[in-house]
Amino acid sequence: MKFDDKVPIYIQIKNYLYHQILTGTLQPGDKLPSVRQLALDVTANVNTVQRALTEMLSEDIIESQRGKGNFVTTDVDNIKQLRNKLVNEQLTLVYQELHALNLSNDEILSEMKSYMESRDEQHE
Amino acid sequence: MSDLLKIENLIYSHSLKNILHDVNLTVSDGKIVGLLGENGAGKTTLMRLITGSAHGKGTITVAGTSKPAERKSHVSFTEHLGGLSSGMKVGKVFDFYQSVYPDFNIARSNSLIEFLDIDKNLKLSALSKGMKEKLIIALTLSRQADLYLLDEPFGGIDSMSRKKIINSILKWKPEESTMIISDHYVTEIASILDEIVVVKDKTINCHKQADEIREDNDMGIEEFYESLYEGGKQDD
Amino acid sequence: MTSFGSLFKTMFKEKFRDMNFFLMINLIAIVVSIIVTAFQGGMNRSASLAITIGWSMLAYLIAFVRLSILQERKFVRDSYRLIPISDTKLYLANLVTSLVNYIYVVIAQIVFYLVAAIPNWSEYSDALNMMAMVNGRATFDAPNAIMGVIALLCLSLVILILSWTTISLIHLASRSASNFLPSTGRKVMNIVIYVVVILLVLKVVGFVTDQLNNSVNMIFNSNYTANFAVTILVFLVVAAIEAAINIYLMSNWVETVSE
Repeated sequence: MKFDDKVPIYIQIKNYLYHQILTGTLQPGDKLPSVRQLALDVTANVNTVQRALTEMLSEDIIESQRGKGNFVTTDVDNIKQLRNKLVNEQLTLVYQELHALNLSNDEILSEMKSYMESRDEQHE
Repeated sequence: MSDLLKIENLIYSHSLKNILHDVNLTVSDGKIVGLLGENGAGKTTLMRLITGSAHGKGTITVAGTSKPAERKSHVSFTEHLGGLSSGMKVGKVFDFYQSVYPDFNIARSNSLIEFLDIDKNLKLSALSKGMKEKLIIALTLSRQADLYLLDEPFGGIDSMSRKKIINSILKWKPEESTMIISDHYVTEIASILDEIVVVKDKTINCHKQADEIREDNDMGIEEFYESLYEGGKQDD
Repeated sequence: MTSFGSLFKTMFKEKFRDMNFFLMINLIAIVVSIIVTAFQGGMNRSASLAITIGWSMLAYLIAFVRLSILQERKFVRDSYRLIPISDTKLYLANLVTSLVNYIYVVIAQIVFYLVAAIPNWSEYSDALNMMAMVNGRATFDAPNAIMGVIALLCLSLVILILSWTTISLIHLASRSASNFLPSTGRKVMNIVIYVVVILLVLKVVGFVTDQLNNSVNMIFNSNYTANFAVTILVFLVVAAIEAAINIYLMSNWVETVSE
C-alpha cells in the first residue's frame, strides 16, 4: 500500500479498512486478518496497525472476540453511519472548496451535474 | 511497556576528536525506531557503543543490564560479517551463528533463508551486494533478541530486495523486541517507523513519534528531517 | 550467554580445519620433494627423513604464523567480539585452541618423521646409542632422556604461550593507543610499540636460547632440573601477566575494526 507520508499512518490504515468494509471486500461479520498480517499487507508496523484497530473498536466498526481476533461489526446501522460520515467528509470538502470560489448552491449543483454527465460520456 | 534501552550521558572520542557528546536516549520495548542522520554523523558509532564494539564514557543499559558481556546477549547487530573468511560458505556462517549464539532459532533461520532466497552453497566472496545484505538481515533476525540494531540495511540494493527485507522485518521481529534501523534516506522506511531519532551536531538532536510529526507539523518524515538541516543553516 | 565450551569448540574447529589444510600441503610438498630427489638419483636410505625434517622446520614456523593471524583477528573483529561471553573466556578460548592446534601440528610432524624413518630404522637407533656413549655413558639412559625430553617439551610449550601473549600484547596495545592519538601520529606510535615490545622479546629469546641449550645437555645429564623448573615458572608468570593486561585492554580500550 502506498502511504501519503504527510498523513498519520494509522489514519491511512483506518481509511484503507473502511474502504474494504464499504465496498464489501470485508463483509459484516468477516474476520479481519491478524495484526501482523495486516502490517505486512500494508507495510506498516504492528503498533501502528494496532492503534488503527483500537480506534475502530471504539468506533464500533469492528468487534474483538477474545482469542479469536477482530471481526467486522454485524450491526448494519454502524456501517451505514460510517458510510454517511465518510460521504459527509468528502462532500464537506467539495462544498467548502467550491464555496470558496464564490459559487452559489444552485451553481454548485449544476456544475456537479454537468461534470457527472461529461464523466459518464468519457466512460462510455 | 518498559525501558529497553537507556543511554545516559554518553561521550565518545576517537583519535582526539569528539564524535558524540551528551547522548541521552531512552527507548521502550516493542518499537521500530529510525536512526537518522547524515553520513558520518555517528549513527554507526552509536550502535557500536551500544553493542560494546566501541568504548565510550557514560552508561548504556539494555534490558536492565549495563555489563558489556550481558548486554551483548540481548543485542543482535548487523555486523557485516567482519572477521569471517571470505571463502566460507553461507551455510557454514549459519552454523557458526548457531554454535555461538544461544538465542539462535533454527526454525526462524530456516524460514528466513527460504523467504529471502538465500543460497547456502555460495561462498561469501561470491555474494552480490544485495545478497550479502539479505544474508546479514537473515542472520540478525535468526536470533531471538530483545534489541535489533540494523545499520543501513538498504545500502545499494535493488527495490525488490528492499521490499523483501522490510517484509522480513515486519514478519519476524518479535513483538516485544525493539528494532533500531539506521538510514540516511528515510522515505523507504518511513511507514514502518514508530519513532525517529536524529543524530546531528554530535548528539541526539530530536526523538519524536512518527505519527506525531505528521499530525502536529502536517509534514512527512522526510520533510521534517530535512527541515532540521535547513533550520541549522539559518542559525549559522 | 555463550558457554566457554561452545566457543572453544567453534574456535577449535575453525583452526583445526585450517591446520589440516596446511598439513595436507605440507605432506604434498614432502612427497613431491621425495619424487624429485628420486628422479635426480639423489635418493638414499636417509633422504626421506632429511626431507621431512627439512620441510617440518618451515611447517612449525608457518603454523605458528597462521595460528597467530587467526587468533589476533578474533580479538578485533565483530564476528567474535559480539558473542555474549566475558573477555577473559574469549581470550582463553582463543589462546588455548591455538595451543592445542599447534600441538596437533607437532604430533603430526612426529608421525611424519616416524614414517619417514622406517626405511632406515636400525641405523637411527644405533646412532642414538652412539651419542649416549660419546657423552660418557655405556648405554643409552632411557629414564633420564625421557625426563629431558619432557622438560624440553614443557619449555617449548611455555615459550609458545609466551610468544602468543607477547604478540597479542603488541597488537592490542597498538590498537588501544590508536584511540588516543591523532590519525597522523598513529603510525609513529605503532612503530614505537613494535620496537619496544620486540626488543623486550629479543632479550627474552636470548635467555630462552641458553635454556634450550641446557635442556639438550640435560637429556644426557640431569643437573639442570632445578634451573629448568624456575625458568618455566618465570615464563609462565610473565605470560600470565601479559594475558591479564591483554584482557584488560580488550575490555576497556580495544575497539573492533569497523567495516
